[in-house]
Amino acid sequence: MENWKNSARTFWTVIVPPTFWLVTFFIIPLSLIWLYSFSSKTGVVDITLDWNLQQYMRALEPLYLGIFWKSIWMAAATTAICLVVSFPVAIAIVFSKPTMRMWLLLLVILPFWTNLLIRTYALIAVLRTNGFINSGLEWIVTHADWALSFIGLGDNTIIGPFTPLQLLYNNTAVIFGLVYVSLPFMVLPLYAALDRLDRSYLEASLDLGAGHTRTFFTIVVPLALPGIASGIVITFIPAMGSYLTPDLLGGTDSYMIANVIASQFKQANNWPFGAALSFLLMYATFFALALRAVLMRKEGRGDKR
Amino acid sequence: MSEAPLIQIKNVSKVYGGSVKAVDDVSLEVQRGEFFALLGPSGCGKTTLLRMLAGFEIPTAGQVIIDGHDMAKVQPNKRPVNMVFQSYAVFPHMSVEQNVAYGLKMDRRPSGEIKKRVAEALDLVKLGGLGKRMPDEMSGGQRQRVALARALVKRPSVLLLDEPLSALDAKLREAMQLELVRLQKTVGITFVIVTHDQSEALSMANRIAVMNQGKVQQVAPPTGLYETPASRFVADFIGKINLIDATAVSAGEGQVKVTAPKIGEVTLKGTAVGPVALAVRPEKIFVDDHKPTDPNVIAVKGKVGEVAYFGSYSNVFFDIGLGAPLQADISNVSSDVEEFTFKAGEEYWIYWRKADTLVLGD
Amino acid sequence: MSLFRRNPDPIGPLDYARRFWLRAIVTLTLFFLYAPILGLIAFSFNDSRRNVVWRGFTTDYYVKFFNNEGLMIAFGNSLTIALMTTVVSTILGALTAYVLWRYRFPGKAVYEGGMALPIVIPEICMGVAMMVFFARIGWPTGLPWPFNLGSITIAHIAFAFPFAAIVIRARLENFNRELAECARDLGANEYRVFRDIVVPHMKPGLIAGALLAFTLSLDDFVITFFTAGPETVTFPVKIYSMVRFSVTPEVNAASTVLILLTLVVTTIALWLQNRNNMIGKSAH
Repeated sequence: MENWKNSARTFWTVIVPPTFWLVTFFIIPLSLIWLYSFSSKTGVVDITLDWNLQQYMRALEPLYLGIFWKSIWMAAATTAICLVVSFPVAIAIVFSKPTMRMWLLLLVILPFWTNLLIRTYALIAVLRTNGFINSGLEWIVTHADWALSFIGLGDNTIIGPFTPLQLLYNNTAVIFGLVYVSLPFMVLPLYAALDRLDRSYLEASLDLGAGHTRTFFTIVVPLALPGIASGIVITFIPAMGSYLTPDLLGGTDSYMIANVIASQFKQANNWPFGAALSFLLMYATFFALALRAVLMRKEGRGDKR
Repeated sequence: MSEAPLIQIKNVSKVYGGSVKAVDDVSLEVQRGEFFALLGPSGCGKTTLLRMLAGFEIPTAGQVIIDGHDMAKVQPNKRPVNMVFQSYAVFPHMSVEQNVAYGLKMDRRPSGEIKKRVAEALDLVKLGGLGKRMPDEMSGGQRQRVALARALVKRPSVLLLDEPLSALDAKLREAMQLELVRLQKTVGITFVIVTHDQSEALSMANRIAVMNQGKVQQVAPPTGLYETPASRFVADFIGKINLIDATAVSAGEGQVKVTAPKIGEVTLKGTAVGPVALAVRPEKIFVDDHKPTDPNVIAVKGKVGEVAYFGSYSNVFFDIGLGAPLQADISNVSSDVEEFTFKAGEEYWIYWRKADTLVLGD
Repeated sequence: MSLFRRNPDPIGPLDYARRFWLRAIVTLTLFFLYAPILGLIAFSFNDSRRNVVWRGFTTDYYVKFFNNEGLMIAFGNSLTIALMTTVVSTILGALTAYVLWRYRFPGKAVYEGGMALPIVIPEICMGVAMMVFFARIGWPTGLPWPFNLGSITIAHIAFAFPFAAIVIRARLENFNRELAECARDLGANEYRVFRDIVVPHMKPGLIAGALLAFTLSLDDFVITFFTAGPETVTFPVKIYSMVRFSVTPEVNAASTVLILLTLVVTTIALWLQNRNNMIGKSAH
């Protein structure tokens, strides 16, 4: 790396265009809503910047705190499920033969390249009242009833009639959808961490008398901690701020924070309040990132007690 | 039971992907208290064999018996063996003490006993007082001692060592060789070491198994391996040796009549017949201006080629009119440089005793 | 278990990938990931409007999709935006990567942090920020095509180029700086070194970055949704408005086309990258 002064002209030509774009079309818009978050709504379209904190105070009302809390625990539940599912998947990929490993990785990454909206839509088709799951269940129930009719227990005496399960438009559906779209986010960092792990550590642990489960918890988990932390954070952050999944799969009580922000900017037309909520969401994001940085630095130092 | 070998390897093979034979029908026995070495070039199957003893590889065929028990269904964590890994595999997130205590904790020993045994083990490898250190604060040599203590503290029947010295620099390696021998004598545990370094194997082990291409070529004590190699491969692999292609026919009573170009017909001790190699170690060759008269030697005329000076001796190549030159290690007994300096092109008589000549089949 | 008996090697203690329960989890996970998408594709060919029961093969919905003017306009808009975004993002991304790779300058850590912001902040925040920004500066609306796509394209570039920069920088990181020094030694000036040595090395990164920008733009819904005026509709936004009402085979058909498109682009890029790597290897 060289000092920029050594070739100042090249440096400036190269650095100016991207910086201009970032500042004009990203930093300024963000600053704008940052200013809005300290403003008051004085009319239908009039907003005055008077540096007050009333928007933030309003965000602390139980209604909005509840929504924040809900966003956090839904994201946390999503992250936890992803972690539990991804660990065995990542282990299987790491310990596969090279060609198999390439294919499995490709299969895990491929959904990334599929539109989020389309993937969510595909889930609607699976979960809705006459979707795949309910139709499958109906088929099983009616056929079971039909089979039972041979021993005189038909006509819904034991099972049925089939009532479709309400799988859509509730919190479970939202978490299901979030897991569905976030899973690759968790598998990849775990895979990377496990791939870096020297196998002789596992062998040494087995050799010293630990079983597979103990080896997993005493050796694999501590050594893969940076990867686990990465996976948790990069799954948690998008899940917490997700808009589309709760919007399409959730019911009226599944609003997450992003949906509230959107409604403040669209239907409710209260930009200052929406701006304040946006910044609270961003601060939460930064907090999660900082936490990860701390965790990873701690790991880098080694576990000293 | 005590008379039975500690380790019995019976007709063990390991085949990968249905065709690659890493270990090919190997049978070996290791006695209690031995320092046993598996020696061979890389890819010869020695590490696979060691890992089968540890339980990390499962034999495709054959039987591994340790201490009278068949190991076929025994997981690595249940075997009475412990291993020192090539990379040491000292857990980086645990202190030295925690590393050494790990195996005892897995055995659920009481904490007082663990503390005592860990301290003893650290003293044994001369790391007493460094228990609180983290692995990343230690040198490679120290990490290796941690790995040794961690394995020895469990008092295994067999300690397995996978190329334990390959990551150390030359000085440290020599010190560690002596150290390992001392350790083994102190604890009395059977050591099985894998190495590709012949000097390491010769200097440390009681017995050595030389492997090549998945097969055991010869099992012998170091002196036997060097002085009476069983095959061309072993002779060539251990130390330097001159090999001259020849043909042999049996002359009865453990003797063969060998015919070789430039040498003619000689009768030597040996059993190999057909195409053979006459083999002689460079340090057993003498050089003279005149043709030796002793009938018990083989003598040929040669012209000095390249000379490499090694201080205590010189390695001199003689062209004797065959494809490959003959090399001799000549001791530099005089401090008069002129006296022992060989000049390219000079002619000498080169000779060695018939008793020092080996007749080797393939 | 007999399914897995092909492999004659005994299962070693660390052969986790060959343990039955791990295989089962992987299989189930892949099923979970793919069954909905494959179902969606399959039922775009189903000759039935409502039911999930297979009624026979048809391509009617593709015909309907290609005849749906609104969808086709949205599709065209999306492609146009994606292409413009790709070109600009790749250039800006390459410049960013080059600066960060080559120079030491005061405030570099802050600069890097700023470049990472569009990647880490929640989409919704960026979406509303862009919405407020364009409303506030009075960005003209009702412009003729393609100028009406300007605001969306600008927003897409703003979030796509930092992604491209990361990919390109990763490629630059394993550049052997001695090659550049060697070229200087042989008499090349700074520009020639860049053109003859650095850019060829960057090429796989540029391709990967461009591809990433393209798919990010094509896939984006949230930011577009907030930036787009009422008269400019992109493909995801259009699908969103259709999905809100009901599940219809036309949406399946449209989705399938989009999936196929990204799949083709990804495959081409992977292939290009592979080929490039191969050329790189054979040259060494």
